[in-house]
Amino acid sequence: MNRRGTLRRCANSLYTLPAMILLFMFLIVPLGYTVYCGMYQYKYMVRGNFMGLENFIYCLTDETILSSFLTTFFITFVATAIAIVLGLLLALWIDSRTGWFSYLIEMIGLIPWVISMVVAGLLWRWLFHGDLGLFNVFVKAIGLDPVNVIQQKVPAVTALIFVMSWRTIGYAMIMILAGLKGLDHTLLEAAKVDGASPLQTLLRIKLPLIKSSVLLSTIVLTVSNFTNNTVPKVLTNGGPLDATNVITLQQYNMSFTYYEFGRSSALSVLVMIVTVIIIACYMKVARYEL
Amino acid sequence: MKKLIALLLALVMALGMVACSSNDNSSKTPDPAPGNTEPAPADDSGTPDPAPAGEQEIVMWTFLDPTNTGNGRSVALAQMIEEFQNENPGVRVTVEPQDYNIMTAKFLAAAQTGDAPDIIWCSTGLLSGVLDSGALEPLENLFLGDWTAEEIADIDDGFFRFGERDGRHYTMTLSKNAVVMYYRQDLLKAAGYDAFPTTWEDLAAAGAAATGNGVYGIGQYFSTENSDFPLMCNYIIDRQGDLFNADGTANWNNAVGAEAMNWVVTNMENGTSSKDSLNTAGEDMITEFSAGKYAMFPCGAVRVESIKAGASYDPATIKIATIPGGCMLDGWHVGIWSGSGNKEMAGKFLEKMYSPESDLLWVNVGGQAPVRASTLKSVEITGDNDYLQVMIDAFATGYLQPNDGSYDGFKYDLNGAVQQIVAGGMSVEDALARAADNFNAANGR
Amino acid sequence: MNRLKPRSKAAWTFEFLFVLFFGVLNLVPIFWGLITSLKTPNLINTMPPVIFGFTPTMDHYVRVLSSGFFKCIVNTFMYAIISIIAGVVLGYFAAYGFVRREFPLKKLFFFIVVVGIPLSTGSSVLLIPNYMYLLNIKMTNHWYTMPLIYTAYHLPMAIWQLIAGIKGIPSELEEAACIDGANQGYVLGRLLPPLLLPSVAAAALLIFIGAWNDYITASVMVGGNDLKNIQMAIYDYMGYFGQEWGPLTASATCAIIPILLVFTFLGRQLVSGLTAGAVKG
Repeated sequence: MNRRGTLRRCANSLYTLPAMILLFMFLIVPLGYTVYCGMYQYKYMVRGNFMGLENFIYCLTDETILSSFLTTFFITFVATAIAIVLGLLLALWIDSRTGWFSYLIEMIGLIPWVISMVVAGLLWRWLFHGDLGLFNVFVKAIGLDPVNVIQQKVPAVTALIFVMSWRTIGYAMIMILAGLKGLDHTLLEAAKVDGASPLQTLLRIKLPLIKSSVLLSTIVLTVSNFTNNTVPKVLTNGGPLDATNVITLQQYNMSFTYYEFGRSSALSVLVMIVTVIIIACYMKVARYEL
Repeated sequence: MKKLIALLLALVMALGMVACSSNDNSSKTPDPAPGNTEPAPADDSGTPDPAPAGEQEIVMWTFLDPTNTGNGRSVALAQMIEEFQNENPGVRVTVEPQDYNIMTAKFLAAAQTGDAPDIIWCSTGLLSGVLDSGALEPLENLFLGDWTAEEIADIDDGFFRFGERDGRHYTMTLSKNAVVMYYRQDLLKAAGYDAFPTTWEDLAAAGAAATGNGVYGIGQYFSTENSDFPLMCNYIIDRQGDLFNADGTANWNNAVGAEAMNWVVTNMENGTSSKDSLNTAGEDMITEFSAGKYAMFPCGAVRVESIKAGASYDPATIKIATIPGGCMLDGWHVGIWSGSGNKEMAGKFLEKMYSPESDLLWVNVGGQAPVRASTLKSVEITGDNDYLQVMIDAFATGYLQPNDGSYDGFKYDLNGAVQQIVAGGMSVEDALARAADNFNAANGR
Repeated sequence: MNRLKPRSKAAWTFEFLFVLFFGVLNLVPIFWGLITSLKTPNLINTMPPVIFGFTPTMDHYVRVLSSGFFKCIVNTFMYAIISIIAGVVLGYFAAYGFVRREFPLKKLFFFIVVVGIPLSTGSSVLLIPNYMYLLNIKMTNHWYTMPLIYTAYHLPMAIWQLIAGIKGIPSELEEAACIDGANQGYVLGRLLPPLLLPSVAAAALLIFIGAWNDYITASVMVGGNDLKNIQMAIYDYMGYFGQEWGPLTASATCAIIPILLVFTFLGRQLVSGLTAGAVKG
């Protein structure tokens, strides 16, 4: 390649450079800094001894942290799966409709996603309140025994999964719907002419073609649920009996109950590595390339 | 594989940059030596709109927002600030209200990098860590040295000594608080108790008697986010005087601890306390008490006004009483950042917040207990503020945790132990041992 | 759409019921918050809860709006608008570079964008180290602190969105314009933006929602009343003086209204933007 060509190629990177500098400054360097903090003892923010990988090893061997990881995987998986499946069904259904009807569903569906997690978590907690909440008014009205939702293990986990899916179904629906709207209609018509059943059209043509939008929303929702600190904190705060003690809450308590910033930094890095692995897996499975 | 290499590359670059930036910051590790009075370079870039030239700005971090007129303590603070600014022309006091959960962490981080506020409010459980970090200035260097023995005697109490280390005082305490028992006089009277019980046996009996008609006798709550103390703390202190051993290890993994835990659990099992409160936080408890779910429950005495305001029944029947064995105490410990460039003036403002006039403001406008013995004598206790008498009694007999090292997370561990027993089916002994192990490990003992 | 069969009455009823159920489920927390915000404190704490038939009070709204809430709304709008402009402009150029140009380290840069998605979504996990780092470079507690952070946090998604949008425009269009003598400035400034409008709208809305709804980052990175955002103002009512459900639900309602307004007017754009920007498989 000649000199001029190389120069030109380098000049091309100027398009992306400003964005990259910002990302580097506010995302990559802080990650590096977190790794660095994770290698020290940081009791009460005062940098102590160099610990090497000890903090990381502690996080990978501590029983509470490992069970918290498992809880988080479970809650993330179920909440994401529910959101994607229901979002996909809703999208397929309203794709066939136009006008005010689909618009109404789209708008209603997105509302949980556009209001803040603090507000949504709070309002649900208030609604689920054992004595003063609307939920038990409804439960009693249909003749069942009232449930104190956030006080018992199974109802608390269910409520957390419910609120997490509740706020993401609309997002999944819109993202998948966007993929469906982008499909080439002649292809679908051709399939119909060839005598494909609606199910065949769905499985053979629609799903493979909207793979990317399903993938993208799955990635975004998995990561968002996995690293969600606000909803568990506001809704159940980890209890009862650590049933909803997701990894981000564990990390929060390490920071703000025990002030072990070295360890909590190490745990943050591990959480980030897990999310990157999740993304890499998805991209591998879907063979996504730029 | 390519992606992995790329990630590694990115990390290496990031680390490189951090390593460069960390060199100059390591030299800024604060000098814990108490005599360190070297002024930090004046730096007002940390404030949104820097004070005009010639004006001195004192920045204070607290949970109180002086612009909030709906709260007595905020109004009292706003008045003090105004007076102070009039007395000291050219000085401006800026309060930057903070989320109290993360305020201390932010302060410690800011103190490391040389950009912290001049005055910081710190909660009881975190003060030892803050003192260890060397981020606070001994008040003797600022104004306490000039105080006469008589003046010091006026403020010398357990809270004042709480801020002491190696013979120097680093903080003064505002918003002194005691976790007292709130109770509904009407319900206890109906249950046959004219006076509030003073022993644990009586307390359980009164609770059982007041239970019924959808009301639980004793409200207990065990969310691990609680900043309040579970009742077993008071029980243990009543029986053995302290929660911790002399070496700072947990002292509840014994017969007294088991007895205390059994008291708590038995009340839940026989229905005096709700079993559905394992994951309830103090804030929910207040709402539920206001809704009339409990005849009594433990809560900070500072909340008395707001609890009365929210009650769905006659608020005059809400009273507070000390808990057998003494109440758990805490408060907000106010100190001066050792790296501040305005230490003298910041100290002067701290003095202002602790002056006899301000003390009266805190008491009369803010609904607080007095911090000075002299104020205590001048305050008249009437039917309207009879809670003050309970607070004063609670301070005289209460328990303030030791401050010679970190005692982090013991409330978290003890609340967790109750959850383990009631929901997890663990035995009382095992749960206490586990809580003790967690506590000792977390505090390096 | 003539490929659809006319619907039977039963199907209609089913759909109507479903929409009703979906609507109730999605709106019930907001409804309950609205009801609560109109009750007096004593009524809020009454068991069993009252749903209808009480005299509404505006006290909580008066209290919320008189304690600096407008300042917080203005701050939040300022943060959001600066972040939207910066995010869209930077994202647009970056996306153009990624789709239409070859340059060294392209793979690495794109990888940073991809890794940036979890890093920014999960930024609350890295909060304290982040704060210490920003303190070190003296970037905390300024008017530009939050806009910069929001821009950076939402750039990866914006770039992703705009990449998809630009991929949807045939490159022949640009080539034709160049043959006609148009320069690069014309292509970037005039030719592409109108075609990209839906993707830009989608990216802008995502940034707006993110900036409007952030609590945890702002509460750590800035402090004080001058820089407070709207979620911090809501959080005030669950602070040290207790969870005051009245003002809490009133301020939450006030914070939801602007986003619902923006959303109602621009929601169509968001949907069609996402549609146009659909990632082709």
